[in-house]
Amino acid sequence: MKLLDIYARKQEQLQVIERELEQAVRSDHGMLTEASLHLLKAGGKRIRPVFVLLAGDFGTPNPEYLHRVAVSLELIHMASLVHDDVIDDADTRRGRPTVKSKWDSRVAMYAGDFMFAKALAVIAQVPDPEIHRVLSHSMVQMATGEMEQIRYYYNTKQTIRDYLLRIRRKTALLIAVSCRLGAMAVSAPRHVSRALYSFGYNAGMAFQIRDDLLDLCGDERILGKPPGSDIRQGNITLPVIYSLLDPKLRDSLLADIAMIRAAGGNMDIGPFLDTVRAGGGIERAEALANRYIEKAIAALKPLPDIEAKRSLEEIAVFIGTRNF
Amino acid sequence: MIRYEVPASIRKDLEHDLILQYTELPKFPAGRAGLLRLFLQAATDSPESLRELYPMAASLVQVALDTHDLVDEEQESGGKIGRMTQLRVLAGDYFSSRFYQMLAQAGQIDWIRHLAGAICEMNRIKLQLYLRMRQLKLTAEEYVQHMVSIKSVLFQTFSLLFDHPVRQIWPEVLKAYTRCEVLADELMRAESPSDWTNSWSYWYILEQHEEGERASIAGNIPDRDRLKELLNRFGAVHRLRKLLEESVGTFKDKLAALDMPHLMPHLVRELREAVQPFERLASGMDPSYCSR
Repeated sequence: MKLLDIYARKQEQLQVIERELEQAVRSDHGMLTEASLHLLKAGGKRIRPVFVLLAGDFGTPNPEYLHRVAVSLELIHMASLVHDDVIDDADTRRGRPTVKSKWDSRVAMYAGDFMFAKALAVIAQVPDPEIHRVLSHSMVQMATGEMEQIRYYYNTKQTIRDYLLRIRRKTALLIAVSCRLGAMAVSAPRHVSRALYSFGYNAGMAFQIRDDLLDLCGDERILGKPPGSDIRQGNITLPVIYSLLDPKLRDSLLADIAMIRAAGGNMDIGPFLDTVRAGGGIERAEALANRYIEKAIAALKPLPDIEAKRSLEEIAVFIGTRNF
Repeated sequence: MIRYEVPASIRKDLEHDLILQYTELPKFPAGRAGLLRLFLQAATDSPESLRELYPMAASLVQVALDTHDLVDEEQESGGKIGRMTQLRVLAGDYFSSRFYQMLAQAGQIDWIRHLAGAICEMNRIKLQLYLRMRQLKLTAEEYVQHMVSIKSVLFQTFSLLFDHPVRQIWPEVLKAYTRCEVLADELMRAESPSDWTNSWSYWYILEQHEEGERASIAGNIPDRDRLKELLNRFGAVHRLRKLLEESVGTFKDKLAALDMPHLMPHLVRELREAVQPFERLASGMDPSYCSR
């Protein structure tokens, strides 16, 4: 089964979700709607709604709750992207100007807060208190993780464990929660929602490691942003941490990172990228991403053998090999 | 002033070491939180835990969204986004997620929805105000009205908890009190050059000039002497005091609706005392006023 087949199979529901997303961010203030729709219309993989829908196949069908959970999680994700672009001072995302760059930081803050509130308004239509406890707890962890990340900017002493904890909060939690809440929305048994959470967590970890690899090795035309954006922001990712462990590369990398930091990220980072690409850090990070993919697939084992299970396996394989 | 002790659980959130290290937070809305708490105690039979939770949740969202108002790329050197701005974005997001968690843990799902609606409305008003400010198309009175709406919209939502007639009276009392707070804060910062841009005095003085002159006045931050001269020339501080005095009067008038034996005479007494600092400030008797 191909990834496109999975999207095709869920196309009808995804179209409903797309319409509901658009509906949710419409307001009677033109610029607020326009700024919110700007990111929405840029597309995106909608991976969180897909996870919610697939997890929703493991229980008693409840499209109403399922769509609300999916719309809410995607809005939370989009609100965080709008704010992240202010934090990262990013001018483009998905090849288009960011809200911050098309309007300004203040408009981006208001648009992000508006989208976050819309997400809460949508999810609050689901009366299951446990869903709210799970989601809100994860959101606090994600927000804490984002703040803690500041401590690690340009920190060359951080460990692999520090990095993994950071991406757990930054990315894996929301994907894990997408799977878990999808299962909870259809009243799936607890062991099923736990297995799906574990799948989402491991897939999410692999997703972020892959994302960090693409930032160093990806094609700017496909990614829609220049390579090396992470290090320009002071964000030291797994391949770099592995490379710093290599005594042959360490001194050169430390010098490069110190220069990038001193220049506030505004310099030619070609030599830094060349050093990282030439070392073994890329391969080691790829290997770890693959281990997470294996764990994700293993987490699905106790689940009934339905089409959604095969789709989740297929998505996990795609995450491990994606180049965009 | 209305007394409100910031609960330890949110004090911990507000005093996160990274936040304290990199940025100052906006003022905690203690007055409005205290006002809501007084009304909840006097006019509802909600459990004590909820009487504590609602003002706490609303205050935390207010601080979250007001923290995001501090995000301004021009404030940092060279236009480059720095740690202070990053922390302001992240702190606001953190407080928002904590507000959701608080209500979720208490099973208050309807209140998540009500407050989410109020957050949307607040952002609509904030953006409207921001755009009018950028176009220099704002009067001092419009500025006050926008600020009152921004500061009261979350708390106003709680009128749903009250029965008639308090349900109708609560938004009016809240808005009248918030107007006093806004004007008192404006009086306190009127003579500070660093607070000049987008203050009430700024809009009041711009309003006295022709449209063609406004951009040059708006573009220059006056030094202390020049600011004093501007304030004196246009009688800005006198006007502010007068407005505050009138607003205290309006607040007291609103309280009259509550002053019936079967309603809440003790609440009315307490609220009358609560606005005394505003009265003293309006009369120039209390230059040490601080609404924190």
